[in-house]
Amino acid sequence: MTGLRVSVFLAGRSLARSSYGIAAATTVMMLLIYVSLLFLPSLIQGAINRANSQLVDTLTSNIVITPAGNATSIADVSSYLSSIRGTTGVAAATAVLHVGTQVSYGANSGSWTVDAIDPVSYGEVFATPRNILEGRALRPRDTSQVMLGIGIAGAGQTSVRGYRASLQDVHAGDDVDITLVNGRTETFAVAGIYDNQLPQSDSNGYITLSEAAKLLPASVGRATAIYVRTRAGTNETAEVSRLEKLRGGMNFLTSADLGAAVEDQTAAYRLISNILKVISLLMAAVTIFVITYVDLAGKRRQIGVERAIGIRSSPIVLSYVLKAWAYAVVGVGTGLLLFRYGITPLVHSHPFEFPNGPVTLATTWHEMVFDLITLAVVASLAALAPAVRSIQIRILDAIWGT
Amino acid sequence: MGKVEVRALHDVSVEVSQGAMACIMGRSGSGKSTLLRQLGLIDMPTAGLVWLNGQEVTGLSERQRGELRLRRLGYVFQEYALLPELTAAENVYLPAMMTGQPPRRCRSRAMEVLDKVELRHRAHHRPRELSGGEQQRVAIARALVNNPEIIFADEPTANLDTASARTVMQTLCRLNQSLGVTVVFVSHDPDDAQYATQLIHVADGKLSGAGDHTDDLSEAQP
Repeated sequence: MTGLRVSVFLAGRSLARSSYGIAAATTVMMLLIYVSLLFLPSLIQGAINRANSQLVDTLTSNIVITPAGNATSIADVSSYLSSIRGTTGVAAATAVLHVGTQVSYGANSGSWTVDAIDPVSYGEVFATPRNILEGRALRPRDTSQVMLGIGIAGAGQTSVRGYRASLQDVHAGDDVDITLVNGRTETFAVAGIYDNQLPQSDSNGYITLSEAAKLLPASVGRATAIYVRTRAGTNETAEVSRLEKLRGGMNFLTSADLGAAVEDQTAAYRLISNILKVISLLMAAVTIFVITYVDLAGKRRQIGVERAIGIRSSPIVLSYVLKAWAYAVVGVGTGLLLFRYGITPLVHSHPFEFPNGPVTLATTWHEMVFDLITLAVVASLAALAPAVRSIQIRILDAIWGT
Repeated sequence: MGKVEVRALHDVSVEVSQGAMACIMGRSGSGKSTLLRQLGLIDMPTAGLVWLNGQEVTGLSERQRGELRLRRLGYVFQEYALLPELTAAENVYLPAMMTGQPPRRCRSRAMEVLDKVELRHRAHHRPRELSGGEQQRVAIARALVNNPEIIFADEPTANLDTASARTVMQTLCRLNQSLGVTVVFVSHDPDDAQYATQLIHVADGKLSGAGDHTDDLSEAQP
């Protein structure tokens, strides 16, 4: 306790009375390192969050129910949907029927999935109907109308990824031919073109279930898949357990199971983020090491005198560690406030435009505090090495430099 | 290539009596400062023993020697050696704090010893705001704060003008007489011998003569 008191006393006086320029420079350095420690990983996390939410909002929903085994469709969909919607934790559910395999426009054609949907319930589960680029979203009573993704239509947007593989110049109001699963080809007017900014979900076409009932009467009351949107905060796995009790012979997959499409991307992002964190921590360690080393080089004699008059080595070492810690905490604390109340709101109002849309900074208080503590610990350890070395010199050599 | 071994002291045996004002005299390079540092436990002899009040202290660990320097010895350096970031009072306060005394007691003790060296009014000044003589008296106060048995002073007046040097030596003498603290100081100035009750002459690392000097001191005192 006495040693700690002496350390605090020495560190406090040194901080209060040593060069303010060095103190300010060190603090600013720690601030910048902390902000860099947070900024890019937060941006990367923002991009990951964006990709994950796009996936859920436009492609997978929270839970996908498909028939198990060799069955190709789910029968008696209406009653099943009613049961699903009545389950705790379910916010919305919609059925989708696979109806088409090919879309043609003039001489261009390609293999794309065309599904039949109920526009109302589909809009409750997915954001696609709200991401209209041209025309309008499907309506329940639409007949001979199709809504195409930008990945199929192209819509003259040459900058869109996959434009060359699309029909390139299809616009709202144009007619396209769709080859149905029964082999018939039907002509549909393009009601609208959507752009989810996610290639996997931008390569689908949609017609209404009422239209599908006319074209494929055998499929009435059936669905290829049911998509379930859970309420906020609901555990998807727990919800699957509840849904499994409603009907047997079904496959249940959560968004996490279906996230494989962006999993590699996410893993790569996380790796980059971790590398950047290690680099920032190394920078912090080197900064504090150099500052402490230089500080100690100028105080070699002073440390010798302190030891000569009976001050133990441990309080002397601890005083330098405390100094480094204080620099780190002040710098990093200021950085935390700047990041949380300056940079994050700024980026929120002016997001970065990534290829998959606007991305903001995503970080939590837990992460920010964790990084703060990590940086303070790293700074303290970096100060420890030169401080310990300085008290290993003989008192005589320290004072008289022999 | 390599270091050349220099034998600073050889076959030196010296005893300083309790309450003495002992002066180690000699020319530059004679080994007088080495002797003082070894007696003050800042340096360790390669051979031989140092005894303190009947206790052999040469074999102690650095930590134990540090405890002795803190509680039973005081050290005054030639170049003042005050900590520049601390005020005069804080410089004096620090060794007292290290002994674990309550802060308030440390502060009052620091003011008390500053009073003894007549520098209470300069307690809150930083070393750079003090004259050389004042800094040396603060160093004496620092050496005195833990009530040491012995104060070692390494050429305490070497960097001072005549008037300041006299004040510093008179302060040491007064503390020696009023508090009974033993003072061992190094000097190359023959005039300083007048303050000593015991003279230790060192030349070429050996004792060249020692003796009681009480009479000289009595004559020197006003």
